[in-house]
Amino acid sequence: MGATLAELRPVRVVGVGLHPYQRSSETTYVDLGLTAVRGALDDAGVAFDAVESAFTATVNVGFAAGRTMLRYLGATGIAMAQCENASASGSTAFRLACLEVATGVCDVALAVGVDKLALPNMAPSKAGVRDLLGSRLLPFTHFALLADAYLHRWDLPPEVLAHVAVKNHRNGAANPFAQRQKVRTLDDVMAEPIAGVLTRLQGCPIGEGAAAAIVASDDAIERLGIDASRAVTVASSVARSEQLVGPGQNWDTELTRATVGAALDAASVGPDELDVIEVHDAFTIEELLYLEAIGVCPPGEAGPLLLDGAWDIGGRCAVSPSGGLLAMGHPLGPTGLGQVAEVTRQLRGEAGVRQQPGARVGLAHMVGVGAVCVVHVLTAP
Amino acid sequence: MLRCRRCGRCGALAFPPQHYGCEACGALDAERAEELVAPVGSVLARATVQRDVFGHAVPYTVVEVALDAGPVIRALAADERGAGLVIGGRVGGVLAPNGERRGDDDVLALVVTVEGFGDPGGDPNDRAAVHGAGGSGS
Repeated sequence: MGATLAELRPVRVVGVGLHPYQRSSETTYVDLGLTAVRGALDDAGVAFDAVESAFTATVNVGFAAGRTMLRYLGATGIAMAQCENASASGSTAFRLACLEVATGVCDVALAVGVDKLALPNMAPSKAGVRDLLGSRLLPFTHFALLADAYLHRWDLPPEVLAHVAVKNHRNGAANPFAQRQKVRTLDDVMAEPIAGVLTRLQGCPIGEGAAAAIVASDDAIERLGIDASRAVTVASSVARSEQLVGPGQNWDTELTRATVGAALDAASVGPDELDVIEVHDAFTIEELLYLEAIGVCPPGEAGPLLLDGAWDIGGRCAVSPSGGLLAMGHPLGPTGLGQVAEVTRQLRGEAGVRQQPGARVGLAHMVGVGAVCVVHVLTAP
Repeated sequence: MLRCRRCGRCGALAFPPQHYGCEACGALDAERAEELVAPVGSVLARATVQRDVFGHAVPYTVVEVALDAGPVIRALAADERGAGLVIGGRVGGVLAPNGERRGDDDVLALVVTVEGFGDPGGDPNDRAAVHGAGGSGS
């Protein structure tokens, strides 16, 4: 086994920035990305020439996205690389930036996620392995199957799932960076069935946007005069991929259980200590399954606890306070970095009307097609 | 019958078949052999699709089945609304038109049906009862 992040030198998030997630527009990806990066530089109070390494996460922009965008911050000659890891691309770019700082390869690293709307150029369909359903098995249907099994197992009505969307749309309505900023009623959410019990508003919108984070060592924080009282610690970073599971088990859930378990262990944090969780809630059923896999409650109880307000801002643990993928949106490359931005603001106490009171420990969780999973635990300054 | 691959090194039975290697242990395909499996098993989950972005006629129902032989498959249900499919119920696969056309011909594929595969034996608290449990308030 290699070292965990906690065994290397400390890594702090010193700056975060976003371009609002939104429907497809004429805005170039360069404008989207630069807005987020300049926001993160301003937030950190550093100039671009302090950054020594940059990872650009994108799924749809294409070949050579990083330098084409970052050149307009001044050509400083730094290391640049592009990172694609399905829906976990932004989380992976953040992890790579953290690892460079933790290992001492550099003192200040940037991770930026940026994307425009397009039909992704997907590898799985190129493997030549034909299943029985082909294009009939879209993500909506995959998660509708999980929803059917879950509701049946725990004898719950479909409205429980819809309440996940009601909560996350309420949070998104208070987030100026969210693609969906409208409060939705239970009736709104239950309308427009797509697959099984899942309705249109129980699936995330995919559009465009950007998110960025700057991570730094303590040496750099001191040398550059960065405000250490706003620097959030990256307590752990864990990435894993799918293993085979038995009938009736779900690979995304089991992968989440393994990855989060390792991330909490590495950070020496228990699930009951989490104040804020940004979870991969691309579909409502995922939030309940992943909360149980994270271990914040026993299996079957995430839904009833949701109805009791346990996952609201101000509840036991704020889940998807940004609005999550369901309301903030899922522009692919930026998504994982948008989670880091939200958790960072929460742990600094700078989340405004979405602030979880007294938030000290946060977790950001993404899964991606493959399946892959990337989890970070962050702790307050 | 479903064409699966049985690994001679670890025993894993895989569907769909492919020649790349064993997902369980990494054995080369040369160490694996074809095994024909009866497409018979129990329903794990169902989903009736009402909106389709690729132009398939809706509704159609997708069903996840744990085959008695081990693999879990997902296939089209013979009934477009999945009538008779209950979680835990017995089902089987038959070759039938899957609603697509190739030239002038129907495309035949494995579709899942309850017809002829015995007593459902599923949980009597099925879809209607569970979903009729009512709203949980708003």
